[in-house]
Amino acid sequence: MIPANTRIELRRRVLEENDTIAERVRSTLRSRGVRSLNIAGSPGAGKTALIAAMAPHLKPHLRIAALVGDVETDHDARRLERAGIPALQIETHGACHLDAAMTHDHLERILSHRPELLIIENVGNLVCPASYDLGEDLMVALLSVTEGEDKPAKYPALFRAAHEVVLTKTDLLPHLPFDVPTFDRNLAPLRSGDRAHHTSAQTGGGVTEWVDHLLERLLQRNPLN
Amino acid sequence: MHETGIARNILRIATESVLEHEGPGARLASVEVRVGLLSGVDANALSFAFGALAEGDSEIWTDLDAPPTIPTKGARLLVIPSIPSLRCEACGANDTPDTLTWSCPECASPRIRLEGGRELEITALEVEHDPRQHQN
Repeated sequence: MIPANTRIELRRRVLEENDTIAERVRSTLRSRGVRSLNIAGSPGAGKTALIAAMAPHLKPHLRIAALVGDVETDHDARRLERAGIPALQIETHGACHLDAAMTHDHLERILSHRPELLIIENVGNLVCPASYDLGEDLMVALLSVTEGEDKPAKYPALFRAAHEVVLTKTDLLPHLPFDVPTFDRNLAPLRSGDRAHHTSAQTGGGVTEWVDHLLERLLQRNPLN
Repeated sequence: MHETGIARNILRIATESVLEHEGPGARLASVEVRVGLLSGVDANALSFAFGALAEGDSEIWTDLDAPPTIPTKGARLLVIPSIPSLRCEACGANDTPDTLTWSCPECASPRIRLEGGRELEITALEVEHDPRQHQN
């Protein structure tokens, strides 16, 4: 006679392994006085360009270094190095997001540059990065104006998970039908009313204000020794 | 997307738990997972990946992951969707809408606060015992 099936009640987070490694990364960073950002957005949203544009405003305050995720090539790490930021490329060879283990595996090498702020540029994707804690202090979601004002409503998980939202390429606004009030309305319910920071890496517009806000928030969260 | 990696995690946690609770000789019959609407995971893609991985085709399991230690062939994935609860900051209404919404169903205000909906967790397993061990 075949016995009846047994039911086992559990409560296990599916991404518990990632979260455990992320906590390890977070405690390593904190113990060495390193603050960190996880920058997420679509391919072509301007993640690398914004980081490069932020560098001159960050450097007077903090030593910076970057980890850059892409499916293939080290183009972005080289772009950031040309902008004067020590950078290490993580090639995922197919994976659509970074995970905590990838951050962990590259951590010692990037920390050899003794950064005070580690910027982690995620693989271009509006979906998957929302699920993976990398051990960062703050997650920043980018959206470029060419992507359309409806994207927060279409991809709510990332825009809700992020600590900050930055609208990029705003110098193109006069040439596009992108409607800022509609974008704000799409974003507002996901962020309890917090608005996006407007930036243009091309003209530098809004970058100073964004970096000032970011520094204030980072230093509040993890005061300088 | 990343549902295959998530399905692999589910199978790994489930098979390890079965081994721990029931020992060898048990077969994984089903896994119940709670998937939040805001978890970034697509339930259909997850079920498809889970089904393919549960068949135990070694080519699907990469070299980095050991295949399950207990049989999983035919195991089912039961997805329980988790919908965020909503509180309207304008009129104070509380609601658990059937679908994801970004405005209050009572007063249509966009000033709503959503709680939960990001869960991605295994809530139960069903285990079948190998009948060959119960022939006496």
